[in-house]
Amino acid sequence: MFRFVVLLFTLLFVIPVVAQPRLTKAPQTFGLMLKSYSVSSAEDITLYGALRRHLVGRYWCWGEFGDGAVMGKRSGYLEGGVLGGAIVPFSETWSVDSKVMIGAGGGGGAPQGGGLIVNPSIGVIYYLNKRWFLQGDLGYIRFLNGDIESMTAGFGLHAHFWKIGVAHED
Amino acid sequence: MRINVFAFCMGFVFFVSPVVADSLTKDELTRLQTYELNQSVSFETYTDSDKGAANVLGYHFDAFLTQKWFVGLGIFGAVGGDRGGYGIASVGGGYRGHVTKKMVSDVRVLIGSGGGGGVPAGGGFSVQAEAGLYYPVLRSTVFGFVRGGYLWFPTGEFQSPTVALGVLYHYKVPFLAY
Repeated sequence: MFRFVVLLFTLLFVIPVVAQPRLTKAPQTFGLMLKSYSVSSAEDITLYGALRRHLVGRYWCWGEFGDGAVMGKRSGYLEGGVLGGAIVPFSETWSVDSKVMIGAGGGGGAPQGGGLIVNPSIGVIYYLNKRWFLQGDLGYIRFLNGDIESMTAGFGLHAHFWKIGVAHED
Repeated sequence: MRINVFAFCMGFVFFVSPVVADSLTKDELTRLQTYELNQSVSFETYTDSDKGAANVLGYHFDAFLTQKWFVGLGIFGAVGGDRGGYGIASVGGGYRGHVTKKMVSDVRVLIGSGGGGGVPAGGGFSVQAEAGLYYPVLRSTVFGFVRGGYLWFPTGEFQSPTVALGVLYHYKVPFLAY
């Protein structure tokens, strides 16, 4: 027991003292997006929201998104969740963007069932400059325990930025 | 099995991401700047609702691009006035200026999506314009404020003047141009 207490104190107090803080940077993107799809065969909806990506390695990314209805008749309809995907450049100014968004959605009296969403999409990115880029994509959304399934079309304006953090090393 | 997959994903998010961050080079350290952020919470009243005054609790996040111009987001949810379930999420921007040496003012426009709680918001598209006065209550970090404005759902019938009281936290974070 005594040894455990000594070890615990060592971990809690000694290691932070000898650790050297250093600043780190991690690439991220943040942007606004519009997305349209059909709630039913006779009803379309357009959502407006934001999307953040954390870029990992050369191609991969994960992130979060959230959007809500701005056109149609479903005020109060919202979506939000996480995403994973890849951005693969094929020229200096163009890239292919593929991602799968998984989350929850519904509201506004829509037939969303339990609300679990899966929304894969593929599209292109055009870099306006080093920081800003436009994105357009086509996809497919399905509410796994509801009645909504549809092709989707999306468009967005995004920006690259560095997330600055602090790391400790011995 | 599903729990294992979920645990793996959460582990990836929390542990792998920090590992992929790179150290700043000496050149980048010399280029490091700071930029200003605001976070605020507010209690807002819609004075002209068809069911009487409605109250929402709100959160704002502002990031300053320059000394005066900022972009931001706002999230609001109903807490009173028979509008349970109503909410808005919006993004926008504004301009900040000094009224006196201590007192700060700003104007902002937010565009977003909202509805629920039986509010006649049509398709949900919302536009809100506000002006605010801020006074420091703890150094130049914590401010008390009052904001007044107007909320409009262009594709619906709902529109109302708004009045908000709140507290704002002002701070700086490091920034490196991409």
